[in-house]
Order: sequence, then C-alpha cells, then structure tokens
Amino acid sequence: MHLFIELFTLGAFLCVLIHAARTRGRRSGVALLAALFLLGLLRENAVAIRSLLYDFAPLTLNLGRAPLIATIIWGFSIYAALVFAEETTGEPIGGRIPSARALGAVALFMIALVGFYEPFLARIGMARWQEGTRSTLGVPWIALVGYPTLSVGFLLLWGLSSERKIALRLAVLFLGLPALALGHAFGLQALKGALGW
Amino acid sequence: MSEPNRPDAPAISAAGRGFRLLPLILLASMLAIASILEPLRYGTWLWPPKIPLAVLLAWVFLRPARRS
Repeated sequence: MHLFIELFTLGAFLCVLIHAARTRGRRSGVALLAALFLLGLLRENAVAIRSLLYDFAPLTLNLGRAPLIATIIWGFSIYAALVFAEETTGEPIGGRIPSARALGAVALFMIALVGFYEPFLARIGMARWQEGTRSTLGVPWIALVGYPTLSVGFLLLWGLSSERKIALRLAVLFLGLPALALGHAFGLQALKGALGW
Repeated sequence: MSEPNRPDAPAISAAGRGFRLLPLILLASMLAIASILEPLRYGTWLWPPKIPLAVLLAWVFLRPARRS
C-alpha cells in the first residue's frame, strides 16, 4: 500500500511537471517545479535529520534522509494550490509577486489540504507527529499553520526573484530557498513548542 | 493568460480546460482513492476533515469555465 501511494505521488509530480512546462513555457515551468522540489528536499531532510515535528515510516523510495514522497508532495501540493488560485482569481501567478487575494486563495487551499493529507497519512502510518501533538479529527493544529505559511512564503520568494535580472534571481533563489526551507522547519517546531501544540 | 475574463475571448474547449485543471483532477483522484481505501482497509471512513477540500475542488470544477 505504501509503495502504491509513493509511486502514485511520483507519477502525479511528473504530470504536474509536464503541465507546468506546457502551460508556463518549458523553461519557466521546469524552473518552478525544480525550485519546489528543492524546497521540499531541504525542508524534509531538515525535519528528518534534526527530528523536528514528525518522523517517517521506513519507505521504499528515499532521497537523502527523507522519503521521496515527503519531498515531492510539497511541490505537487503548492503547484495545485497555485493552479486553484489562478483558476479562481483569474490572476496569473509566477511572473511577479502575487496579490493578497491570490495568496489568500493559495492559503485557503493548503489549509483544506491538511484535512485530507494528515488524517490519512496518520491512519496508514506513513507519518507520525511528535508525542503530544494537539489535533482534532486527526488534523494537527500546527499543520494548519505550516501548510499555508510554506506555500505563501515560497510564492513570495518566487515572485520576488521573478522581478529580478537573472544573476540576482539566482542569488535570491539559492539563498532564499534554503533559508525558507530550514527557517520553516525550525520555526514551526519553535512555534509548536511555544503554543504548546 | 492576459485579460482572462474578457467577454469576447473565445471559450476554452473542455479538453483545454481539463488540461489546465490537471493538477486539481489528480488531487481529486487521490481524494477518491483515499476515500475508497480507508473503509476497505480500516473499516471506517474519516470523512469530516476531507469536506473542505472536496468543497473547494467541487467549486472549481462546477463553476463556469474561465475564458482564456
């Protein structure tokens, strides 16, 4: 069952990679998904290596210390939220800093995703939140903060880099992505502790 | 993708709209698979937390197509 879900998610990620390349231009689309992949890779490896927030069941496909599915599910989910926001607001996202309305739509979609992913992952034993994590109906409260903040943070960073020339753009991404990924993992753990969640 | 709601813009085909919404269709299929697997393997279906996502997806799929 775990392998089926891993392979299905990998297939879905490859589909959105093709989707991004076809709808946003090959270079822009692939660059967007590559940045999302890097974000997930860094964040989930930080979670795994420093034992933050949750741990993972042993899975078949891994990348570094984290399961591949944990790495790519962020990219798939944030990209799906981006498509949702574009469809509902009519605002193209990617070439500039998104409006508050578009970011609100992304955040709303990511919060809704928590209710699907987290209870399901807990039930099938793919991810285990730290002992004592407060939750309702299998939804950890801190995840309701974590999902939208990482997505909005990424889209702000991506929009900021898109408005720069290529050298500055690369600098924003190569400095900003690790900072966002690590800052989010450690920051969310600190917030969780501070709130007692 | 400029002027997405311009009234004289040509209506997008169903296939074109389907491809544009592909990531959301994939997500809806994941939700459906999870909703089938849960009761089959675990005896119960934890449906209440899934409602917000189901509502958002239904809203996108059922609303009139945005013109391209």
